[in-house]
Amino acid sequence: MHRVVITGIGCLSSLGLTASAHIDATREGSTGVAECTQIDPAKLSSKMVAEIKNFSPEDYLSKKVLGMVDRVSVLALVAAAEAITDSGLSFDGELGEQTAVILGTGVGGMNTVDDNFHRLYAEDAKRLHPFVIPKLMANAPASQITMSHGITGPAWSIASACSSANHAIGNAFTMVRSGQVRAAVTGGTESCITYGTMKGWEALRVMAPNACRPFTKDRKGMIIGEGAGIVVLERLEDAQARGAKIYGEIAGFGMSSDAGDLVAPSMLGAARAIQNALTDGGLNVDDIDYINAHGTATPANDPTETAAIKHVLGDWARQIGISSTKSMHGHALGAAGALELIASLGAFGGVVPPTINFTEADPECDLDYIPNTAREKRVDALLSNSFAFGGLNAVLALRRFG
Amino acid sequence: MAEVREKIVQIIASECEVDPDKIVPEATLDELGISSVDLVQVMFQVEEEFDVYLADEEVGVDTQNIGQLLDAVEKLIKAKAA
Repeated sequence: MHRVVITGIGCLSSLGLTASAHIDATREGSTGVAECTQIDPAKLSSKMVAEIKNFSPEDYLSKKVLGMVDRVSVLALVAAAEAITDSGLSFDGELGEQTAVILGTGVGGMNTVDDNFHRLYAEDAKRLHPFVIPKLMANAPASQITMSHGITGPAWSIASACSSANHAIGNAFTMVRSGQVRAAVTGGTESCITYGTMKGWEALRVMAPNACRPFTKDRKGMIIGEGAGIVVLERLEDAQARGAKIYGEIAGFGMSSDAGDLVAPSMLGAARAIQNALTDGGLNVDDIDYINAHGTATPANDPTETAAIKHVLGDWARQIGISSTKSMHGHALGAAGALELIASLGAFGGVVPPTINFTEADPECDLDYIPNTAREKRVDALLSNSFAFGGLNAVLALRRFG
Repeated sequence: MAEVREKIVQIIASECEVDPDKIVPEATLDELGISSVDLVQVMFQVEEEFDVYLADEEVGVDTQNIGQLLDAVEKLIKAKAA
């Protein structure tokens, strides 16, 4: 068994175009939420989304690559390049064969699906572009990363809706820990602010009209976001041998499935995933200083998650800080866990990100959610929660390194 | 038909990032570094441009050189005009 550390981070979100911009913005309590530009907001009942801003893919990728990829892969490629450069690793030779690429995405190339099926159904197009399938397939982001960095080890995509990134990172973590691979490029990517997807979310009636207010009494639901977060994982001994910068250690990973309702969350399902992450990481409840909550701000999630945290942590739940950074970067679905893990790494620097848009406390959500402003606090261990539609739960446990 | 050939050469040059001067009938796809997926993209653009349908038996995996591609497209355009 190897200890596993994070030595590279890359991120694109509504809060910024780099991991450091994303972390800084979450510490400042900034918002990435604004009126939708990718679709005509007049056609949406919930017009606010967390889109990436001031981003020109041509600044990062060649015309040839851009012709072959959906935006979901563009985001993954840009974040992966940042993370890999940041790690200082290169994948020439043996390391390339011993590195995994495991990426989460909820729905894959939805822009391609939406645009092209519209051409067929609405415009009666006779033919589609030959790259429709290579662009829309859910493994495209993972495959594109292998191709652009010469990584020839195991690679695939994981789909578990809003837990996709946590499942991917957790899966990559266990592979590095077991010795199956020496390093991994992992995280999540999502870009589905399309007309079809947004109308689908609208129909579920879980969307907030203006702001995402996790854990507050007047919360109205989620704000859809987009983005990609990528981390480079490697064995502690390898990272130390080459003098790499270490952002933190992944200590444990816990999973569970509710086997209950497809969309309603289960307290016990979430609690089991939290407990499993602690057990896997050899952590006691009172080791935990901070939890980056799933915190979607839907009426159902927030009290259920609060109850699950209390169920596992007991009285200690009142001693820690909990925040939902979704209040700032929106719910980036299959990328959410990765955006939140990267935001959480900022907490190891001594500043815990807040839950913004916090108004009045909900009696059913009675813990410390770090309302509105970041807090200086030493964090030695933390949890990052993801609980998905379909009842699929994935929790990462991290420990400060050094 | 000269304009047709010229247009096809332009499509190949732009889709495959190949120097148009090298796109001559005897040049093989291999020599020009045109992969099977590049060819599929060329076929798509040709179909869009001339509103024809290139069946697999006319152009496809067996296509070896530029001449075969030009001939096949010209044949279809003539048939369409007739």
